[in-house]
Amino acid sequence: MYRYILSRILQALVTIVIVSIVVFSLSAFSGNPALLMLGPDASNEDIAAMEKRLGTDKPIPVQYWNWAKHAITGDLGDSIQLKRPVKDLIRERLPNSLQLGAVTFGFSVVIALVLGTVAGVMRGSFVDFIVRFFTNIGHAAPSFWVAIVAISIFAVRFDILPAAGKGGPSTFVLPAVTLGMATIAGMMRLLRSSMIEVLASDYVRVARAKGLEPRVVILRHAIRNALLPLITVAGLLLATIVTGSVIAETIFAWPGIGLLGFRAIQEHDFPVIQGVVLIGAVTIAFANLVVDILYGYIDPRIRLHRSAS
Amino acid sequence: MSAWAVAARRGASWPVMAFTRFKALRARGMPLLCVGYILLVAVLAAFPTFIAPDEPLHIDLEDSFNPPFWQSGGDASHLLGADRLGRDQLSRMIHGARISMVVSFATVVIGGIVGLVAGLVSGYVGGWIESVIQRLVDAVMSIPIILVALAMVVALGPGPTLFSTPVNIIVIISAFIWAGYARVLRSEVLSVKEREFVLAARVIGASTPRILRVHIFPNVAPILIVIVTGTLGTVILFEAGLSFLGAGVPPPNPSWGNMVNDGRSFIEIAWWVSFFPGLAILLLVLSFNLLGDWLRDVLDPRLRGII
Repeated sequence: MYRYILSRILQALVTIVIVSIVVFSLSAFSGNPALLMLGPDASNEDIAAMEKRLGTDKPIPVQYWNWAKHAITGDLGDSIQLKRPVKDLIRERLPNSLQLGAVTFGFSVVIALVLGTVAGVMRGSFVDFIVRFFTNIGHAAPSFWVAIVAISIFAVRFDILPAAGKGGPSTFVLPAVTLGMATIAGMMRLLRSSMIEVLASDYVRVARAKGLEPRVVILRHAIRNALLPLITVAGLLLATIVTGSVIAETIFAWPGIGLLGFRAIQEHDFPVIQGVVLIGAVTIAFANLVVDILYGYIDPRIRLHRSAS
Repeated sequence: MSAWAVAARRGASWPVMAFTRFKALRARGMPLLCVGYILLVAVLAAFPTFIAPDEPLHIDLEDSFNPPFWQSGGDASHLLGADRLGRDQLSRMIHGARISMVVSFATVVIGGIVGLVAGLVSGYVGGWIESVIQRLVDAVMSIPIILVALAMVVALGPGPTLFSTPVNIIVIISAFIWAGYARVLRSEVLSVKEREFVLAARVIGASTPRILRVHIFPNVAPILIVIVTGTLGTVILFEAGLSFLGAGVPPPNPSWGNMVNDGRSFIEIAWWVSFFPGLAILLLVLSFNLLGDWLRDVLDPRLRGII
């Protein structure tokens, strides 16, 4: 088990290093940061002085090394537009994103758990049909469009939910629904099919044959095993939420790091973009690591198989 | 006797009746319906100038926010209404169809080829190449794609165009989509390479490229077709998201994503500007997804629930 955990941690570290190279090279696409900071009227001497101050006159690998050294200690440089440390900007907004993400993940799990299980148990029924209908829509609808339609119905027409900003519990509803739609659809679909599979297995047949109540069979025998595949994709689903938060936060003017990143992109503020992307990538890599370790713990077949290969 | 007739005889309530009817229809008609819609969009995308009733960039401020023809104030000159600048919505949507189609097909072809090679090599050859490719796959899959793609598009600009679609968008989406294919194909190759016919080919001295081409590839091809069809919809949503955030086709040229964005601020007075392009995206993605599910069931039922 320790060997397995150690190898997974090592893999996650390699992943983060590769991501950091991608993140760093983003600035290479952006043109000369010194020119961005000083504007088009700057003299050549000023630009050379600024390049020296920023360290962009050095070779690219040296620049990466310097940047990575600072990034590890949490120093991600200063925002070009806001003239403040990126670290502080992220620290101010990260809690807002985490709250939205947690609320979204929580209610997605609850909805998917209930509906996915019911649909799996009552396969072919009317309820199953409704669940599958919404699963297909959830997979296919553009989240930004759903958000706009939802705003026009619930905020404009009926005026029962706020259209933008962060405040009381009611402000969470529309962003969380937008953000969670694809996640709910994915989880419901997976849970439904794994429930169907589990219900056809021998141990469920035995449980039924020995005369247990259907409720006990489903809640105690079937559901626990049906949940296993859900854990494997939990990291992927979290990645969907992290990525999707850019669109949701932009539409609902949610003061999180998704919106911070979007504004930074519009203003070519590369230190901020790098910081936001790095935070997102580390979150996803960490989630995948936790999921893998958890899964190896729950299901011994996985950890034996993977440390052997 | 059809299931519907049985239900009718039993005196079932109307939602159950509709549902039974739908089930019967779905089994036969659903793949056909999906193919029909996809073909319609494909034809629109191929010949927009012949089909569209108006020029997509034709501004007529007198028609600003003209509603669709069935609402009061609307008329047949703008069947689906007009946007803020009085441009015909339907014509813009017909021209925008091309972007979605070209981006989705081009990216899955490029991403599919890269993913296929990466999957075959890392699954069959193994060793350090496998480790490198797999770590790369992990890294790509843990990048917050929208942000990085957005940053790249903004930094690089849209670049040259291919069938009026910016090439940079195609390249950037392809750079992310291959990883998923490579992961699935690798695990598939791992199981195929243990089979007897591969061993036999190696014993008689077939070269690695030949084994990959003749023995491994045909056995993983169905799964490749299934996952590629399954991701067409994802790619369309992704491109639409980029366009919506302002990093797609540069305005004033229409794409479905940037049309939704155009109408965003005017949702109270002109719902149709955002609504119809979004609906077109939904239907196209839905068609590709349902078709993908159907293909999966036909080609490889084992995959049910995995993909």
